[in-house]
Amino acid sequence: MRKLGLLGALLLSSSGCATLNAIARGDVQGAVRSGAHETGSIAMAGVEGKKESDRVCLPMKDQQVPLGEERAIGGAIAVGLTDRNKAHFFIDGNTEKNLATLAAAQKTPGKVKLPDSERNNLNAYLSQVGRNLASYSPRPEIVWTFGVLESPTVNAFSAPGGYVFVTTGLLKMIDNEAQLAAVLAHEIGHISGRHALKNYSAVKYKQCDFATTGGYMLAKGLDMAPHLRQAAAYAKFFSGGNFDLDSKDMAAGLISSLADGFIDDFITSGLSTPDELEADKYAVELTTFAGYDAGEYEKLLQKLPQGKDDHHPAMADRLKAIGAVRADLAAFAGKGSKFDNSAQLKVVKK
Amino acid sequence: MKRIIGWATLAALGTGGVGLAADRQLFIKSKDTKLLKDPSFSAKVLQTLQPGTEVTWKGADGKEKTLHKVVAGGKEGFVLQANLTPSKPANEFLTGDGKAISAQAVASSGAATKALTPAATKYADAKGPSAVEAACEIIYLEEHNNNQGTPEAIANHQKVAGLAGGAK
Repeated sequence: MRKLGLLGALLLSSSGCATLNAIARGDVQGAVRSGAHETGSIAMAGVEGKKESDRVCLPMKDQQVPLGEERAIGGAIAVGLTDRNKAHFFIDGNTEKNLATLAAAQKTPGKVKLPDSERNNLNAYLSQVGRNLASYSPRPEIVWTFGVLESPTVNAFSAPGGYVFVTTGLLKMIDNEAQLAAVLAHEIGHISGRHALKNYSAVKYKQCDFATTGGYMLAKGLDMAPHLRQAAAYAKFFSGGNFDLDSKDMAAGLISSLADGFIDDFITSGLSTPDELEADKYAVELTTFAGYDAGEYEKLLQKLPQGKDDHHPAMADRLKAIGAVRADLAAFAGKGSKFDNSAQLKVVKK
Repeated sequence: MKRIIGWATLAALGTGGVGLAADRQLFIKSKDTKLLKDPSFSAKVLQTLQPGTEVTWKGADGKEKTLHKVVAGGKEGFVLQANLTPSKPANEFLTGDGKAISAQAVASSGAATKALTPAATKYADAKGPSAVEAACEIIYLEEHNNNQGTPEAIANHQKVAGLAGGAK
């Protein structure tokens, strides 16, 4: 269906010059003849273009996204999700708001620095808890970026490549560090399992298919609607087997299409039920081995509001699966810390 | 639910020297992890193990519960639980050619070490001022966390919070 939809869109938006010239002359019969001939040519080019797309794009579907690309798209998604939610990070300081100036300042060690404050200390605390948990994950060596978002919404989310954010709304509901650790470990689990990359790969394939098929038709001299011509211009980035989002030549429009396409898909569909359950499994495993009382995860989950647009599996199913993992790991449970973090969270609970 | 947890508690109490689900595969998470001959912190060190090493878990010690009996490379000994993880280290791919490198090799590769890569900042610039502001905040946040979330700070927090890594 999708293939037909794409080809159809490309065919409908393509128009041959001979047909248009005939119409302009008022030669209806000539226009019909030319139109039939050109439609056939366009369809042929579309089929050939699709073959080219399959050659270039199909391998991407199953290929593991390299770490550099994962961090690149993850960073864009982290920025996009923050921006889309009209949220700011829960930080203090007179921060620079120009990226070029900030990049220049970063060259001087210690120049880009947040002052000592309760809000900034909270972010540092979150990072210490999160990085400790990540050291027990399958991906201990990637860069893990933790942060607190100022928002009343009760939420935590992650983006590929190691970005994990928690809202102040969620932190207000946290009773102890074991609960916070479980939230972070769930998100670390999504990144460890590369769950969101499945969604990204699907978006990337779609973009590649569109660009490559369109690019082939454009190269055959077929005219297309401006937005399709624009998409076809991205074909060169997918060909050649060296897709690099961070290259100087990479089009900002393509990065936006990929990041925004991912965000739209993510907001609509979320992650799959098996991936959510696997992230819960990670939450129990990582917290248990790090020395927390993993039972606090269940307590927190039962306190959380269940939203209409919550894409997580049914709570009963989650609790049952979490209980089974806890039972399996009983020999590692030990004393189970429930460290009182009210001092660290005081700034959000005021 | 209560029944499952109750069963788990009983199982934990009844493990003694050998865990119920013995012969589980675990992995070493910390550098220079000591494989001890006996379940004592002063026992002879049989071998020093490195992150990612696969071990066969035989169960927690009955007395010193933070020490777990494992078999590593044919040698049986005891390892501190804080140095074990159930997570098999993932292979990382630096390029799309399918050649994997270990998670440990990532750290020395310098791949993706910035708060935001050029693609993310290009995206923010294209989106407009509010996205640029979000990007700037993430960069500040990462610099702050790198300064405050050092391995020493994490180790100190493990001790304060009574976590596994804070054990002797």
